[in-house]
Amino acid sequence: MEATIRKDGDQKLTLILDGRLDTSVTQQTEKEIEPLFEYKNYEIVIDCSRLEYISSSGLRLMMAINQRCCANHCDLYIKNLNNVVYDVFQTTGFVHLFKLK
Amino acid sequence: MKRLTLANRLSLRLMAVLTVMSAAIMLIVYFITRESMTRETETRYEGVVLHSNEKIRGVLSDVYVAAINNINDIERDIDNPDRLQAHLEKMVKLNMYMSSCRLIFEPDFYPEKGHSFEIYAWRDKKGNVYGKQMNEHHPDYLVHAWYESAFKKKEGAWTPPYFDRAASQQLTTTYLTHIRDAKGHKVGMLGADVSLDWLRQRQQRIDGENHNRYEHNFKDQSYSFIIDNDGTYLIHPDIHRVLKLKLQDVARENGDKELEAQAYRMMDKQSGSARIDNNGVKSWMFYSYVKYAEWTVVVVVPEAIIYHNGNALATLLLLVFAVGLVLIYILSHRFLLSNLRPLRRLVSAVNQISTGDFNVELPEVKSREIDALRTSFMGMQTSLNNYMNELREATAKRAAMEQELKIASDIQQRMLPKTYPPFPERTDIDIYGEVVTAYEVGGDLFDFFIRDEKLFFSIGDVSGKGVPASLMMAVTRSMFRSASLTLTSPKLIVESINRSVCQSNDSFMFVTLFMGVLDLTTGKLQYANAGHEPPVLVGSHTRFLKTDNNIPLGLRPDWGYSEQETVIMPGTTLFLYTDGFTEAEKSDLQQYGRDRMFKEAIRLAAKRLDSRTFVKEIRQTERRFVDFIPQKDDISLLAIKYQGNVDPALYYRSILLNNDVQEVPVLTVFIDGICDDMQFDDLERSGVHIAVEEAVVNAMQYAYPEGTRGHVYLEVTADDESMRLVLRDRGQAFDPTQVPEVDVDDYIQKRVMGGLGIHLIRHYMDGISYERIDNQNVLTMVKTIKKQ
Repeated sequence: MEATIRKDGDQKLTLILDGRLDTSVTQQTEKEIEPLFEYKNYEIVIDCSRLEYISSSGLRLMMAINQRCCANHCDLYIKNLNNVVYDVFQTTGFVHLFKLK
Repeated sequence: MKRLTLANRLSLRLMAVLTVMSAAIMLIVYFITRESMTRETETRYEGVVLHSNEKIRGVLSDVYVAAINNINDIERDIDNPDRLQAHLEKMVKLNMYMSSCRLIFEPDFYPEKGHSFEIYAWRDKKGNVYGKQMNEHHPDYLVHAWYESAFKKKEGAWTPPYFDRAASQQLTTTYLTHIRDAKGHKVGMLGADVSLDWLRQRQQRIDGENHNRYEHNFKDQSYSFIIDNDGTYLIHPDIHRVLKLKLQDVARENGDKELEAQAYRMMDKQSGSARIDNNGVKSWMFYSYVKYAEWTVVVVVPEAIIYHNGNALATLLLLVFAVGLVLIYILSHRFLLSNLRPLRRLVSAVNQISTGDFNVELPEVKSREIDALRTSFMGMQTSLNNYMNELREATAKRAAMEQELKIASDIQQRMLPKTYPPFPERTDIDIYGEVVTAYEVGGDLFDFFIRDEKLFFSIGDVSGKGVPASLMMAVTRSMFRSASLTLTSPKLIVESINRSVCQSNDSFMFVTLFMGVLDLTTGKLQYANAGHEPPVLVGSHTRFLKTDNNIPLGLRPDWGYSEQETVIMPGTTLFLYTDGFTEAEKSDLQQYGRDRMFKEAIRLAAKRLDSRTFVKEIRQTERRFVDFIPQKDDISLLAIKYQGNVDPALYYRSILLNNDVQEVPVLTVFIDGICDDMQFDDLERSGVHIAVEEAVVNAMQYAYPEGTRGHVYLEVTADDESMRLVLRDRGQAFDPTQVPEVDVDDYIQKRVMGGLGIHLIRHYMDGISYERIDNQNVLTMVKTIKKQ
């Protein structure tokens, strides 16, 4: 599992999630995305094109991102969810939590 | 470099010593000879000079004495001048060296004879003596310097040599002495002439003799001469120098300082010798002062003549030595060669022996040293023949022994189970074993059989190798069989074997043995280990079987062996081996090792192999590691796969996990394998992954208090219709199905997490149930398999 923060320009950045976000890697990933919460008033896009799998611990991490980004007045989007992960998002109602691009 | 022969080396050494010796002798002899020859030559020439000296003195002395003796006769007849002529003629007649003589009187001494009176007697070339009155024929004698100076002297004296034009026409010197009257007044002078022609002829003759006798090869290079006391040449081969030139003047003109200095020494009345440069020819000059005449006789001899004889003798010596050395070299070389010839014949004979022809006749030799060599070679021939015979016998014996060993090996192999699968009718057990012996017969053994639904098995390794080890192995194996027929406890069985082995063990061998009894219905394994390598349990949780430290069999008959037990999960393979496997060495002595074997076992565990494939593959890893070099020790491998009482028609998989979320990737691989088998699509696959992960993580996090260790055991079975996943743990009771169903919309709005996991399990699984059995949480999830 790899999480990369990419700055795309003025007030825009992308968080790229790559691999399986299961319980064994959640803690590590949480540390990796910590810098994301230093940006205020940004447009943040979570690119999930390479996210293969997500379990409930991963969903909890997404929830945390959502809450802290809202506190930072950031616009948060998710894009390129694959079928499998989208199914999980739908099952858990997370589709309502995020703006999908 | 080509090696020199003994003959060459010895000859060369002799030569070297002789050369040094003879060179030393030659140098000494050369210098002594040269010195003495030189001295001899010098003496010869000194003799020549002295002889001349003596001769001159003798002649002059004779003439002087004759003159003195006649003075008295003349003075007696001084008043009778006519008788004086006869005295003169007698004097000349009696003295052969006196060429002439004369009487000269003061003017007007005999008035009747005229103003000047001089009478004269001489010898002509034929030896006749004549006399005559010179008087006016020789008118100027009174004023001659030589007359006046002689007259004024008190005693008689020799005149310097002069050329007598008046009488003899020769170089002449004259002894002048006074004539006195009765009163003792000087009245005239008697002059006795000596012609030096005899001296010139003598010098010529002696030079000629020297040339002939000593100076053959030097082209008359020596010569002699005589000088007067003022340096004037009196006698010299060059007639033009006589009376005209002086030695010191000639030397000065030629710039010859040394010769000039010697000339003055001669005039200083000294005798001696000196080295001079005679017109470019290095020469020696010998000279001798003639006392009476005040002349000096000189001989000049080139150095070459002086040193010639010494040099010639030395050269001759050198030649003789050189010839002698060459002769010695040739003779010693030939002597050695001829004496070493038998050695060469012996060498060729011995070479023939080395080609395998042991019965070659060695040639007879005369030399004692070579004969000793020949004798020892003959001894060697005999020994070689004996050894060859012994070797032939030994080889034959060995072949017979090898044949017997082969038979022993066959018998031993027959003792081991060799039909696989051994229990083809049984589905609960799958066994495969193999022994590879390093020697013809080995000390490894394993055996197994089933009695009362129990599998009795053992693996062992006898210390040592070869026939003794294999016999020990046979004893141990039969004891195992007989003990296991009556006993069921591994402890008792092992102790029974131990006692028997101890009894028959006189050679202090010992056996390491692992012996187990597996209850095929329950999976309970009882075992006892007597110093053997711990077996590996290969399965969902691959690990070494814990074994107590007991001593090997055969050491102490009264040793109480401990018994241990465990339960093995169906699907687990018990892998047993001997130390020949783990201690297999590469060429750099690095061992395959237990750790490496364990890692390979873990890797192979995921493949869930049958026992035969497992043994073959793990053996292959060891072979590859040692790069296929031949093994040094026996290797035995035995794999017992316990399938349990699972319907073989049923799909069955299981895995044991530690209660650590880091085990999730292991779980992922396990589930992936099952999904492959079930041919699930992506969505189903993802669903199964999520449901199992949520359930497992739940169990890990809720069943065990934080920090405590525990396991979670997952079994998966499937048939055509459904797949059942049974999750067991021994933690505190926790029923996830009692967690209330979450309202998705609600928690999204409230942003409160919790219950997501069970929600996902319920969503992706078709059934979920919880039971608490035997202090275990048992969560069963069911997924219906869609009909294709």
